[in-house]
Amino acid sequence: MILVFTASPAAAQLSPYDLAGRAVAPEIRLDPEFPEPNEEVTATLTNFNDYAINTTITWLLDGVKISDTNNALNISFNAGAERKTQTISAVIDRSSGRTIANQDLRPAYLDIIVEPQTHTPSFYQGRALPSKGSLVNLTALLSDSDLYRNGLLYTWRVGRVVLSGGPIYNNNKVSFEVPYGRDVVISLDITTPDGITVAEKNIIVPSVSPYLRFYEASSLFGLRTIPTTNLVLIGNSTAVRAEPYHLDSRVYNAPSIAEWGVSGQDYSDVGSNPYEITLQRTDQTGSSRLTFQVRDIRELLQGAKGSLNLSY
Amino acid sequence: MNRTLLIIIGVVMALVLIAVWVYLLFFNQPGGGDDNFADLNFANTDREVVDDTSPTFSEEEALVEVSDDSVLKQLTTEPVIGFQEVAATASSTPVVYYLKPGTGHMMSIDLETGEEERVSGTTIPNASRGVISITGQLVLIQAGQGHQAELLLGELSSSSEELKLTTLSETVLDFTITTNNELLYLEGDGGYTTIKQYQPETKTTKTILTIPFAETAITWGNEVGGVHYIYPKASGQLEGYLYQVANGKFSRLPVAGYGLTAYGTADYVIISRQLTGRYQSAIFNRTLDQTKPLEMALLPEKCVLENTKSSFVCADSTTALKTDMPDLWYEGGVSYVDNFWRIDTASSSASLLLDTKKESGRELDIINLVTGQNSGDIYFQNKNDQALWLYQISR
Repeated sequence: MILVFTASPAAAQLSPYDLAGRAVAPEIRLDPEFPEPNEEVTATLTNFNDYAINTTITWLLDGVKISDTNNALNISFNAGAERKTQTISAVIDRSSGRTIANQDLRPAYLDIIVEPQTHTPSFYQGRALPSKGSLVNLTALLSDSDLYRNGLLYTWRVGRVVLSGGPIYNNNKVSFEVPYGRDVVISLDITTPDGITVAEKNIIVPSVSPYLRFYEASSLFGLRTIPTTNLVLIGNSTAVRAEPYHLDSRVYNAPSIAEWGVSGQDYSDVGSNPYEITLQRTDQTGSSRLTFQVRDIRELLQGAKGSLNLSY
Repeated sequence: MNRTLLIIIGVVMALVLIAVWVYLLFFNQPGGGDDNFADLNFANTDREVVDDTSPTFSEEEALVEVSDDSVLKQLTTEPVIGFQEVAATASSTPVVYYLKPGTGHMMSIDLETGEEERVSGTTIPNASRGVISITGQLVLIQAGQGHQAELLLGELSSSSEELKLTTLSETVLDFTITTNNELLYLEGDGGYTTIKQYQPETKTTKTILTIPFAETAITWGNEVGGVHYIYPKASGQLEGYLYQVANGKFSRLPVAGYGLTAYGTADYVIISRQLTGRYQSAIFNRTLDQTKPLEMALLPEKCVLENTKSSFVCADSTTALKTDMPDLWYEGGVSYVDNFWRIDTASSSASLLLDTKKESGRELDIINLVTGQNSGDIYFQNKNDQALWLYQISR
């Protein structure tokens, strides 16, 4: 029995023997491991260092030789169409005989759609962003999931924490609260009931701080879609709405603090909407500073404040 | 004269002058004009007073300036929430119908005479968005905003200004009326969205498809059975993916990216997304399954298919689009001064059609482009004030 010890991880990877001295067959490693349709894939031959004279390596894709790849330890090729299983093969011919390494791949799309439950104005056409402590809904769409009639197991991780306690059948929708930090890493592994991984993906979800924008509001024309920082009161009255972008929707709907101030004085005489204030002209002329703050006292980072200059 | 006497005379004169000034200031009433101005008796000064017979403009009789030579015309000075070119027959002069915000009243502008009149006086409180059919007989109006917005179908009576209203949905997200007068709308349902079709003849609603996520943006096709493009609402910091709904099936297309938005037809799709730190645009050729970059970065929301069907007309600014697109533009934090460009789908090349600021003197951030089905002209709104404009591209 021969025991092979090596200090080099690369050499250990290419060693044709395991620690018990048994011969390990060459394998093909794909990068990415679960490619999308038409995505470029790199195939690398591993567990192989028996590269002697008269050894040849031939690469085949679905049985067809890939040109210009003779004797290469790794090659690149484009994955095929969606839902079509392909086989990449490396045929190793040595004086001692032939060894074939095969690896199947089935290109598919795995999309993770991030839907933060934070606030944006009704006219805003885009998607809201997550903020610390806010809820985020995740939806995974695997393009050929319907081919797995026995169902698939979904294992979601937020950082190192496994959601829902572990893998759950057909659990393609989950929610989580955004932890502290600038970004959070989401990982998803999808496996068959007998443990074969069919897809996996890691994404980075950003975390932003909420901020305020002020917009003029009209009972007839609705909300003006251009924000203002300097408002000139031309008519007898106008309404201004404060929109806290990316504030947790739960805080937006029930804020602990929602305060307006005019020239440093608190102003509490607002209507049923705490985010809107009506300004009425008096006989005086001049300028003021209008301020607004919204905040949750349990999660202090869930808040925003801002101000605008008012001339009349 | 001695000094004392002189002083006395001076004081008396001053007092008299002050008294005269006080009298003129507080008590004198000026007489009629004829009394105060001398007749200088110039020759030929007889004026003939002409009665002002010009019409007093009411809401029904307002005139829009449509006769000038410019190819760019401002049709309204006030915001609108929906509009459509409508022609009674193929040979008649088209009129444009538009909807007023807050009330939902429908107005028409004759594009030949400029005459404006009211088509429907039915008030829909909080009307915030609307779509009008190309026949002008059907209108979909959104009342309210946000997730509780209601969708109402209005059918115009042939004999009066009244709209017959039917409530279609109480959680509407988007809607359209196709060129075949089919009514489609997108409805929110928890973590999903559903595409539905309403058939006014039978008063029934049919579910076309359920989309497995909530934050849905849609580019509607020309008919129910056509191709509709779906993607998660865009943010420059979140990845988006392009899907299609065709023949009742939901499937993924090979297009993805941060800040992804798209607009297109069954054959070509204009896409924009963040790539290598820059906001970039491309055309996705559906037949060849290939994506070809465009020389310019633009917002697909500012594009429309020309009547020729072989090119798009897009509005784009010479200002480079910022990397935090499209969020900043959606928020109103940046406003663009757009020109009109023609994008050739076969070659993915762009050619300048019109410098709008030079033509109109105005800075236009162009949105909601619609091609007139009869004239081929382009109707659009200015995002800065939501007013309605016309670009007579056919001239």
